[in-house]
Amino acid sequence: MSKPEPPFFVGYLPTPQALARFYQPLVLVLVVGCAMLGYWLGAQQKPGAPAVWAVGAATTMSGVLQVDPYPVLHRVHPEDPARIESVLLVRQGKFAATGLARELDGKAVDVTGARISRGGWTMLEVSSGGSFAPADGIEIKAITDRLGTESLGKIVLAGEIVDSKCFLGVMKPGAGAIHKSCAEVCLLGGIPSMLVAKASDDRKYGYILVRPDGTSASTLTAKLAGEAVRITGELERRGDLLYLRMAENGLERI
Amino acid sequence: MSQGYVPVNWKRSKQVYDLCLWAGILLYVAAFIVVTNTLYRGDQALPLLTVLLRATSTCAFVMLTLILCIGPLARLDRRFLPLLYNRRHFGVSMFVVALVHGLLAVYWYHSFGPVNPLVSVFTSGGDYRSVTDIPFEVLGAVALMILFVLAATSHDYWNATLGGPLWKAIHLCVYPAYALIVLHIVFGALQQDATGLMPWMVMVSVGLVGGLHVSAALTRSGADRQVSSDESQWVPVGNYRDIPDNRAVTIDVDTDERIAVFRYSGNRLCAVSNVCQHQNGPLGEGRVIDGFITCPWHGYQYRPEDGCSPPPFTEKIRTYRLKLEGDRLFVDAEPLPEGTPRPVLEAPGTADGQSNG
Repeated sequence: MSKPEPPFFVGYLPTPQALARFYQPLVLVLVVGCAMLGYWLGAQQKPGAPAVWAVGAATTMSGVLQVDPYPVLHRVHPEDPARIESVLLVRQGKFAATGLARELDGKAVDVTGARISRGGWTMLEVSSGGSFAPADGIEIKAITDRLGTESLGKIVLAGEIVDSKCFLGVMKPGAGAIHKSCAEVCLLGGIPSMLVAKASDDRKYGYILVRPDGTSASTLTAKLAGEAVRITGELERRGDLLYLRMAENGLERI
Repeated sequence: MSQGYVPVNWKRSKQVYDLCLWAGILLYVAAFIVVTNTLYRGDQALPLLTVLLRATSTCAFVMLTLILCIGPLARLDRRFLPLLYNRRHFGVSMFVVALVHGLLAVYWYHSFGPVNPLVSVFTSGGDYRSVTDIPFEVLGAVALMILFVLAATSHDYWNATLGGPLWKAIHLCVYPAYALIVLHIVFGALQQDATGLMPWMVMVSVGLVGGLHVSAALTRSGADRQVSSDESQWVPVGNYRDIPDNRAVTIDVDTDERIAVFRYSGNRLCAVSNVCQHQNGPLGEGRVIDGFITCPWHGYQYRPEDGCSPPPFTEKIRTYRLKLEGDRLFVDAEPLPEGTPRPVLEAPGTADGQSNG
């Protein structure tokens, strides 16, 4: 007795019953399997870094504006009046807020934007128009006198160069190989450049990078964004921000 | 077939295929997003665009892996041929998912800055001078361009316009595209993979695709009858009774294409090229249905007498001459031009139609 013919499928002919019986449970398993696979792979992801980008929720902060090397608003800390909080300012998109803030440099201002925060860092993302307004009732000297610029000595630090905006909460992840291109474009746009170094306690610390002459290092460091680097320089504190003033030839890729 | 072209020649089986396909895609992406938003809220929440990027990238990679598995799977087990029949719909759907991933990546990582986003894709994020630092986005972008060409030329119109061999050569570029995507993952997401899953995903995919292709190649080469035509142009096929009715054996005679020798209607014998004019499907793995040689991939049909598709279709394949010496069948290794009629052999005494296979 000859073997039965295995079913032969031709799309424009009726599907053989044997094939239909084969596919009905298989298709069900595959479609349900797609949902299960998506659920399982999604569940394997790690949580985002504990950071917030309050996009769409406008916040207004008042203080004294400092434009160079990067725009920063120094203000009395809202929860601890004995402290000065230094809030980095950036523009929407991948741009610095320098141009918007320039004419109010050193003045008391109200700044409105979307709050970005991670750890003890605060940043405000401002829009192109109407974010800066002169402020009344702020004694500029009372803030600037408490800023100071404290030199903390020479230091060598190893870590990764990031753009501070993405790292502090806009992107998750805001560092590493996947984010490298974005960081490069952000730094080319003037977003403050930051070195993120992991300390022995496994916590990450951020240092705002400036050139040897104290100016913005964003474009200088753009091509090394996302890279492991070693930086030799001088550590300075201004307000509650730590700046790493890079030495000449003090930046090397590891 | 070739009588005219419409965007999609919908059949019920195609509709069911696409419905199931897109149900699977949407369920996958939805489940990925829902579980992420359920698990991670507040300051640990992941941005929706990041989640979408991950969902579409993994979905497209799984789809491409499955697409590349369908061909060898269908050769190993003929029950999977219906998946191959509409494989182009699977391919175009995969391209759409990959395109969404690519557009999201350009929007999220390269837009809103001082550099043109498309320029940024090709100029930022790495160093071409270092093998280990090649920008992974470029690998993905080139793969996406290849997939675009494949999707854009997937229609039968392009198959007929470009000709089967060129169309086939273009569509074999899916393998370089797959290799680029694997490298895109290895130099990108895998470098920053906190889950430990990425290496496994890549290894399972490459192992599955490679393993099935090797397995199918070994199986088919075992099924072919290897014969030499060194001494005579008439090469032995074997006993014609060994050919199952309405089916073929495939002969490899060291020429540029194999020969499919069919037996049908019990005692009729004919030989044609093994290569279907449509997508170079293996005719020797097909059947004779309603008196026509029928390709197992998309059902293209040819007359046994002259290798021509029945009117109004216009495809033609090469034909070969046969001769019988007792029960032993011989094929003339010299092909006749496409669509050339030659006598169909009628073997004596086996007109009962019984299969001997």
